Amino acid sequence: MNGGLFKILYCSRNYIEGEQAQQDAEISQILHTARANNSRQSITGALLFNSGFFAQVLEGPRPAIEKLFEKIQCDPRHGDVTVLDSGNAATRDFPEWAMAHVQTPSDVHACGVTAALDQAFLNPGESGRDVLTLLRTLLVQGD
Amino acid sequence: MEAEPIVAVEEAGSCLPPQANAREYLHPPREGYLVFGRTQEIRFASDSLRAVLQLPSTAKVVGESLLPLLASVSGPDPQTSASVVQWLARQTAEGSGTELPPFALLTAPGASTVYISLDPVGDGYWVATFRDVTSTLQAESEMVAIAARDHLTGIGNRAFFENRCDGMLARLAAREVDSATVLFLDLDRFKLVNDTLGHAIGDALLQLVSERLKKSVREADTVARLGGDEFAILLVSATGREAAAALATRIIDMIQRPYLIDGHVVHVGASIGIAMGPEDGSTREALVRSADLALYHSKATGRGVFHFFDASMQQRAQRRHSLEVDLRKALVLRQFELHYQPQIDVESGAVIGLEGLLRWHHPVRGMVLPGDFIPLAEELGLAVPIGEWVLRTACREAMRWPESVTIAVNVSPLQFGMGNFADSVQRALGASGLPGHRLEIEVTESILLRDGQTVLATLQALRAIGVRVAMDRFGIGIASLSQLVNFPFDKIKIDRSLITLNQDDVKKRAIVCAISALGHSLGISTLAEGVETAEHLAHVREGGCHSVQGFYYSQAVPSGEVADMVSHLFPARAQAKALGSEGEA
Repeated sequence: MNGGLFKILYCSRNYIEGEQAQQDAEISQILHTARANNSRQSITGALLFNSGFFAQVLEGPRPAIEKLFEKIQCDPRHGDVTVLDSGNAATRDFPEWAMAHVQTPSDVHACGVTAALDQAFLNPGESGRDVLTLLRTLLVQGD
Repeated sequence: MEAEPIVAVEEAGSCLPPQANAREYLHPPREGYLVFGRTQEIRFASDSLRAVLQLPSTAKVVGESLLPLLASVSGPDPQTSASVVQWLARQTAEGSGTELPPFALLTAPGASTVYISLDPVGDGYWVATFRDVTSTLQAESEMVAIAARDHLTGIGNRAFFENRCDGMLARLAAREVDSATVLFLDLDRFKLVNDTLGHAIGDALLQLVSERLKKSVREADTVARLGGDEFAILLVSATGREAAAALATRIIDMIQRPYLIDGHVVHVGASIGIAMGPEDGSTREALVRSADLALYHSKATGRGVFHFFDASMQQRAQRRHSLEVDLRKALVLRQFELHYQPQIDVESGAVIGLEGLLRWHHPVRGMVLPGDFIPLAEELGLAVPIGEWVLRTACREAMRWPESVTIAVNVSPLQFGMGNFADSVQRALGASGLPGHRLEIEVTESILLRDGQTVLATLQALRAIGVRVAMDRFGIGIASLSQLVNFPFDKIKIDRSLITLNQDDVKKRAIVCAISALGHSLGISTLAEGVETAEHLAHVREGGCHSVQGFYYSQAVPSGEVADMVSHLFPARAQAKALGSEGEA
């Protein structure tokens, strides 16, 4: 067993340009690819996207996570990657999702999401739990 | 999960920039793909497929059958063609995706080698990806031919870079190309990673850095590791200044993104220097030197940046080199000297201490101030021997002055953090006969950035032999008041910038008061630096400082003039005393 279950949570800034429709197309492409690859690697997680930011949780065997994380780093569609939390974990937070798409609420809550992520960039060490809770909450609402 | 009939083959992490022109620069069309179904009918093909397979622009692809198409492009070698077709048939029947050994596509004007891989995407659909690896294989075979692979990272080594660079410069000389661009890259903070996380992680980091560099450039460009954490990139021709700048920006961005290695999140940065031949050098030596100077400039101006070479760097480097040559000789030729500036007790007006200040008398340069040579001395590893000389000289000369006068010596963070600093202090005291309580060591707050345990141990060792420690230039940098509680300093020297002020500078006054008050309550004495006028003196007296130093009393004077200077200041003291006693009477 090489390290057991490993988890990493990061946020980054969105570099995808263009209209909403183009952005949506890129995101669904990212999700499709992620889901196809992740299920083979027993990686699960969730991806939040709004026009300014990404926030993503990846959980799975450490070597696979490290490989995927490196691949994600090389993606020019985002930047300013800030790791909020990482380490070994006992359980998965998103066991049923090869990559859950967390929808940004379109209503007033959108401001709250942006504020939470702004805070995460400023205080990466203390924001991990908040962002994770945010992802889980929005995921449930999105269902 | 739902199966998608058609997926794009770019993976989530592939390095495709959003703009089409950047895409073109980074990835000339060397990868194309198509999607086909059970009947092998091609349902979709990427735009780049024609270029990769060298199909005529009129050739129909979508709607055609896959195997005949492949047979038509896989060259005149019937065996290759047949084996590809057989392999494809077998793979699609078995239903598992794998990569085929390379097969040759022989198409005029040259031969290219194309890898093909198959991925099932559900519902009986397949994605076939075609990747032109010709230039990779060429580079590989060249590398093998000149035994020029870096063992750790698998990219080219210095010999490989030199070989490629010579080739490029020969083409430049023959006017086959019109420029040759070299980027030198050096990691920022790599040593810290090695020191704190160990060499295994440092090595893994170098491997990932190499991968990221390779992904950032075109396939035909050369990426090599020159050694340690130094890399070089040689760009194929037709790269303008703007494109080189854009690439450097992109590489710096890529390298400074986090790495996840053995469960550790690791951060490094990159500094880059760029030189373009023939302007910056038409021989390898000249071009490399220019790139090196540009890199040095980037390192010196903040790191995480790139600079193009320019001629002023050469001049600066020459000036620096001649300063280096002179500085290396200065100790031996006894060109250093200490000047002394008095420290005055605010209440009594008495000279209570002298700060020894280093001066370099150069026969041609004249008097050189520490700010102009100490940074270089630190870089050259001369800061410690020079510091030891200062310490010994100050102790020896102080023996000539009244016992009531202490001697203050500036010590660089480097020297202070050596671990055996207290020993060299003890040796200097022993050799001169100066009692420990007459010596004061001045350190800047940057020592607090160093290993706290060593610093604390050194402070305690000095205290044990009676030597006092002052924090120099307090109030401008990183030290917080709370750190004064954690580290046993005997004196705070308030920086001159807080003293030389306009009359209405209320904030600065408040800061001086606060520092003095804290000093009082912690039992730390305070000294105000840069007192130049009677007004300044009144201001610091009001603020509650114990002692002062500055032009108002005296500038720093050579040791031969110290006795005169002190006796000049004594009348002032006598006067103050006289006034005081009159007042009491």
